Amino acid sequence: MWFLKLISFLAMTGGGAYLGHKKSSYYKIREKILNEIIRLCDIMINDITYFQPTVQEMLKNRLNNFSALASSLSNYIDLLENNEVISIEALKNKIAKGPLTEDEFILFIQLLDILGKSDSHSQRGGITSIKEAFLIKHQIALEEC
Amino acid sequence: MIEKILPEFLTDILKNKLDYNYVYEIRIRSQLPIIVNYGGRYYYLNSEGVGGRDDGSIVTDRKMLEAIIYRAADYSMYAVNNQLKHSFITVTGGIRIGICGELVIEDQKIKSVKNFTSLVIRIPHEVNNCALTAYHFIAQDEIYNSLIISPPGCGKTTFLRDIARLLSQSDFIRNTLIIDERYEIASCYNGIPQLNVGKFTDVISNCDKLYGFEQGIRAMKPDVIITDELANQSDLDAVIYAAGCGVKIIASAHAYDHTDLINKPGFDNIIKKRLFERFVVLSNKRGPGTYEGVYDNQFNKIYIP
Repeated sequence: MWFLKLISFLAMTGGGAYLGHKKSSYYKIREKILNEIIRLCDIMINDITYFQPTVQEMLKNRLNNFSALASSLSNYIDLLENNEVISIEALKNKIAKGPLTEDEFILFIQLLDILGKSDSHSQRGGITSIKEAFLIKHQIALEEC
Repeated sequence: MIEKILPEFLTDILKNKLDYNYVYEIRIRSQLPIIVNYGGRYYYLNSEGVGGRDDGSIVTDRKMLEAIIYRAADYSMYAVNNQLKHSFITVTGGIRIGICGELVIEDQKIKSVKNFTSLVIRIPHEVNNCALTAYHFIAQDEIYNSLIISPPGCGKTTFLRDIARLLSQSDFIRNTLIIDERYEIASCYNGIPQLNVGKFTDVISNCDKLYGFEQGIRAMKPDVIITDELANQSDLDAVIYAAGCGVKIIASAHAYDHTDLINKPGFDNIIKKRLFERFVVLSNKRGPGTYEGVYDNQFNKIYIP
C-alpha cells in the first residue's frame, strides 16, 4: 500500500514539475519570439532607410539571426518566391501561430502584410507603430515569465 | 526573366506560341486588350499567339496590372519608389516597365503612383555591332563628341550601348562612364549591368545628368561619357561642363534630322559652339537603327549608306 502511495506521490510531483517546466518554457519561447520581432522591426527600419534591399533579400540575409522566427520567416519568403498574393488570409494560412496569443499573431501577420507595399517613409511609419505595440506585449510577456 | 513578372499563362503564350526574340513590347491597359509589338508591328495578343481584335484577344483588369507591378518591384515597392515616381521600373534582364497611373502628391512633391491604368513592358535586345559603321567615324582612333539623333523607337539606346561595348574592344583602354538616368542603357539591376556595356565601363544609374556628369567626372575620371536623351537646358549644361573638363561625350537626342535638332530649345546654342563634332542620324525606314548618315560639326555628310 505504502508503495502505491509513494508511486502516486512521485507521479504527482513529477507531473507537476513537468507541467510547470512546460508552462515556463512556453512563456520563455513566447518572450523570445516577441523579442525577435522587435529586433526584426529595428533591423528592417534600418535596411529600408539606408540600403533598401528587397524584402526577400532583407529577410533571407537575417534568417540565421532569428532562431525563434526562422520558420515563420521562411514560410513568408516561400510565399513571395511562389509569386502568391500576399494578404492577411494567405498569411494566416501559411504562418504558424506558435505560442503567440491571437492578438500577437494578428499583429505579426499585419507586420508581414504591410512589408514592401509602400514607399520607404510609409514603411518606416507602419513598422514603427507595429513595433511599439509589440514593445508593450513584450513587457507583459516578460512579467509573465 | 519575363516569367518573373507576368502571370504564367501570358508567359506561356509569349515563350511558346511566339518567337520571344521578336517580342519587343507588351502593352497592358486596364480593361483593354493586350497589345504586343512583335517583329516591329503591333498585334493583339490571344491564347494562340497574336492576331486581330476579333481573334479572342486577351483583356486585362486592374488587379492583374497591380500584380505585375508588385512582382516587378520584387514585392518591395519602397525599393523602386524613386523609379516609380518617374513612371518606370527596371527589372532583372534589363526589362523596363513604363507605368501610367495617378500621381500621389504631398507638399507639392510626387510621393508615389497609385491606381495604375496601363503599362508598357519593353524587352531590350542587344544588337552587337549595330554601331560598328558609325564607330569608325566617331570613336575608332580618336573619340569625337558625338550626338546620335533620331525619333523615338529608332534604336538610339541600343546604338549607345553598342558603342560602349565597342569602346571596350579597342586596343586602348578608354574608361567609359555611362550616366544611365532611366536605366535604359546598362539596365543595372542590383548594381549589375544586365546588358553588355563593355569591360571598361562604369555606370551611374538613377541620377539626373548634371549631377551624374559632375560627380562622375570627379569620382571616376572617365575618358568618355555616354548618356541618353539630352532634352533640356540642364542636360545641355551637363554636356558643356563635361566638354570643359576635356571629357568626350557620346549622347543622343530626339529629333528627325539636324534641322529639327536646331529648332529644339537650347540646341541651337550648343550647335553654334560646335561642341558636337559628329552627328549620327538614325531612322526606322528599314527597321530600327537604319543609318541616315554620319555628319561632321557643320552637318557635312561624311558617311552616306
